[in-house]
Amino acid sequence: MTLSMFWQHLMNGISLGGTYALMAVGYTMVYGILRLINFAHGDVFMMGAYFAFYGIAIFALPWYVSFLLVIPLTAILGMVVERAAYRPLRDAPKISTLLSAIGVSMLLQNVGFLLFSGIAKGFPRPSVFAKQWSVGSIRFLSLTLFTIVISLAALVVTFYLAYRTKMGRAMRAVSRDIEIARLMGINIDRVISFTFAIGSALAAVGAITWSIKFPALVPDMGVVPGLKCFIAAVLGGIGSIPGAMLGGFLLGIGEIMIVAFLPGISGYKYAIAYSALILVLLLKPSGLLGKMVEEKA
Amino acid sequence: MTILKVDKLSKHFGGLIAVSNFNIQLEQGELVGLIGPNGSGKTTVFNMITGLYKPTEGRIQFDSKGITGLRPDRITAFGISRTFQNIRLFSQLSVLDNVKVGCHLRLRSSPIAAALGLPGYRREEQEIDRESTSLLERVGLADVAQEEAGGLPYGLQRKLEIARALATQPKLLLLDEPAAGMNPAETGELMNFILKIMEQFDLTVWVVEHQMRLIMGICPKILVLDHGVTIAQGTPDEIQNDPKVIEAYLGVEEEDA
Amino acid sequence: MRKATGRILTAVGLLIVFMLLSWAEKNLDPYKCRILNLIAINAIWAVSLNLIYGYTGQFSLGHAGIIAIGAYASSLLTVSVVKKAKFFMIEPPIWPISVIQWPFAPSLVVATLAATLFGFLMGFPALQLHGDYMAIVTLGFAEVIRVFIMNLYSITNGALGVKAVPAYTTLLWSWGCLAFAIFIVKKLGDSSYGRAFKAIREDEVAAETIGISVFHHKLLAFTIASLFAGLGGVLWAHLICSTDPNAFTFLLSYQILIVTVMGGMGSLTGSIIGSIIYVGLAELLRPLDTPTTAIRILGTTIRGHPGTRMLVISILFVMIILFYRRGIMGSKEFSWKWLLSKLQAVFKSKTTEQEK
Repeated sequence: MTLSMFWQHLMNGISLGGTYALMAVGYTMVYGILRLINFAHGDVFMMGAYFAFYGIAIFALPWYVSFLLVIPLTAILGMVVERAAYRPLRDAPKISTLLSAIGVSMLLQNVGFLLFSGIAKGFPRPSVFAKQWSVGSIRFLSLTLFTIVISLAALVVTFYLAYRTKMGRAMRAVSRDIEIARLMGINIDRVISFTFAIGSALAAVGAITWSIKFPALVPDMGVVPGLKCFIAAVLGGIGSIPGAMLGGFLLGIGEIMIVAFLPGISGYKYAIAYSALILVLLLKPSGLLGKMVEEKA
Repeated sequence: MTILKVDKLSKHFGGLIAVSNFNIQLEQGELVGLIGPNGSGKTTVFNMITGLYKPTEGRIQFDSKGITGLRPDRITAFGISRTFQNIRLFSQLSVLDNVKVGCHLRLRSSPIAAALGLPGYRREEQEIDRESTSLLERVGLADVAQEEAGGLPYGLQRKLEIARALATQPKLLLLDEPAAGMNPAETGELMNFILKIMEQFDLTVWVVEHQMRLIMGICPKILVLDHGVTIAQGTPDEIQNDPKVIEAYLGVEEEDA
Repeated sequence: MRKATGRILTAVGLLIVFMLLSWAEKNLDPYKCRILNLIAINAIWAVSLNLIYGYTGQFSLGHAGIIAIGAYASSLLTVSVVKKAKFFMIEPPIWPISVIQWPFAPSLVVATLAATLFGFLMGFPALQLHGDYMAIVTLGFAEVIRVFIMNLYSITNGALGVKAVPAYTTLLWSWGCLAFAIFIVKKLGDSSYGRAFKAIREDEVAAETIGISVFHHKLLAFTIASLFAGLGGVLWAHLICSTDPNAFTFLLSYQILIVTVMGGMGSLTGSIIGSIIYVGLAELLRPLDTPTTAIRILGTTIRGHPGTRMLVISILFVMIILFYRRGIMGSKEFSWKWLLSKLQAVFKSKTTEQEK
């Protein structure tokens, strides 16, 4: 293992981590507001990837147009899901919303199987992403750098939205205490829609960065990344946006490093991530950066 | 005989000191009251004694056995039972079943015996049925035994919660604001009820309450808590005339004539 | 109606059902038998989930993993030594799998116990969490089991799966096991333990204060439920005569969820009804998947397309969650008393009509 190989792996890890971070932030924002694990998030991610694909393949749009259009389209999908499947259950026992999320997840996958068939589709890789670059002795594909840049840009925008805008403040207020926020005159419905929109938009960006790297699209492609990103969000501290970002990068780097340094157990990398999840939940449920509230009798 | 001894009990929630240096000694058969303004830490004390919270400091001894920091179900097995401020019944179960659940901790048959309906289990089940039905009769809830607990009127729900606690055969019963939400007539009934069960079941009872009429009416000994600190202890007369108590409440409620 | 009368009616009813099943086994074509077997197996799984969720209020999505253990264990124990040597192509099977070849009964018992053990192991960490977290952890655990199955080629033959599993599952076995499952779960549910489970479901804190050791009871329910999940897995492996890691994804856990929700969480009768409806629908809607089916609407032809069937079912599921959450039976059970009162009501309305 040479130093340059190490840097190469690290870069790949950060690149993968960027994608994970994007999805993890979506999970954490929804959880912060609704205390709901949005099972359908991974499938919204999948839809984003397919939207981008069809934008190029069927509508013959230039890739940069397709990629840009996908973001608002997926955001709308996320908002529709919230409106149709979660909002009506706002007053029902929590488990119903969870069941609904699972139902929507299944539904989206089945729509995918029906419309896109189970045969893998090849996501186009624009030539600008396929160039081989090198800095010193470190060689990498241009897409690795681009995905890092895109992810970071999206995260910076999210940070700005969450901490520097009125809507972001409202979002954070609602995740602190939904009742008080309502009493303060915040329009809860709008805040929730906004949260889903942002989360889904981020998932779309994540889908693009993912698909450029792993161009085989299948309708259940969102399930394992979805679960992994939820793990990342918990590791970083569920409900905390910086935590989700941190968790995502840590998970990405960790995954690449295990595959690189311990190839024998790389088939079990999912099991390792999952074991980390259990340990965190049992020993320090607030994760690395989060805060937990003790339940009063 | 001292049944409960609490020494230097404290609870800190991060920076907030909910209870500080709480001490009490209960003799068997006593009826004690604990009062204090909202947020003074009364329920926190109960929660620590029943194991819902782990004390930050202090020792609790019940019947000469240390019970500090034990799990709630272990503490109940030792003989302490409680009711809650907001009634916590098993709403979808029947009244009778609520009480029967209170008998579960004494069950000796294994789950396999229960699943197969073995004779040893069947005997115990009959015993539970007998005990629970008798308990309901003694507290006056026998008519509604098959009703869904959640559908009962408030006053009866409160009685049921107490009956359920009695099913665990406690030596010490903690009542957390049992008169909450009751009108004067219901409160009077509750006062008599508490005195009756104390006698019938040979209990020591400790009541946390806001309603002065109930506390002053039946508790020979009262402690006053304010911001987690015990500020007074004595008979109803002593408490009513204690300047610190009056200050804490900004005027103790006048007794209804 | 006296208890004894009810018991006699149940016994007679069971006898009739089993005579019918024996007849069906000999006279119906394999396709119909397979459907009936699938109904029983899905019902067993639904009963299992009901014990965890309907009775005790704990939400587990890990069933697929436990079922996989049962299915794989029994398959590996029963497939002939000769065949195993043949299809373990990537890595030879390790001892003792390479030499074991057992008949059905001992294999069923051992495999079910193995599944029960894994249920216990899964439950131990998972039940210390609540709600969403428990769901994710159980889901993840099931996925981890699948990952291990996929990677341990010398034990499970990895992604190639186990083939040539002997077809031991008959209607009598599957419905017999269902009857056993219902008997045990019902007896347990009506017992003091059942009351403890339901108390935990209603209010954990209050239950603990009443002296119930909450964690132990949750684990008890989870472990017993895993026993039945594994049992169903064994029956399933010997019905479809093969196992394969792709059969045990979360989709299987979701499927059981659909069956249980449709029938009503907390109702054992509902588990059977839900299973009949689900398996029935899945079969009835099969034509939707084939392009040869076509209907004409407004001058255009709409053809069947693979994937339509599952889409319809998942839409149905979301509709049920949104509008009919309690399922068909809610948490009520079938009872002879209820049937009698319904018959009396019908009879009464008929006689009043005649009197008019």
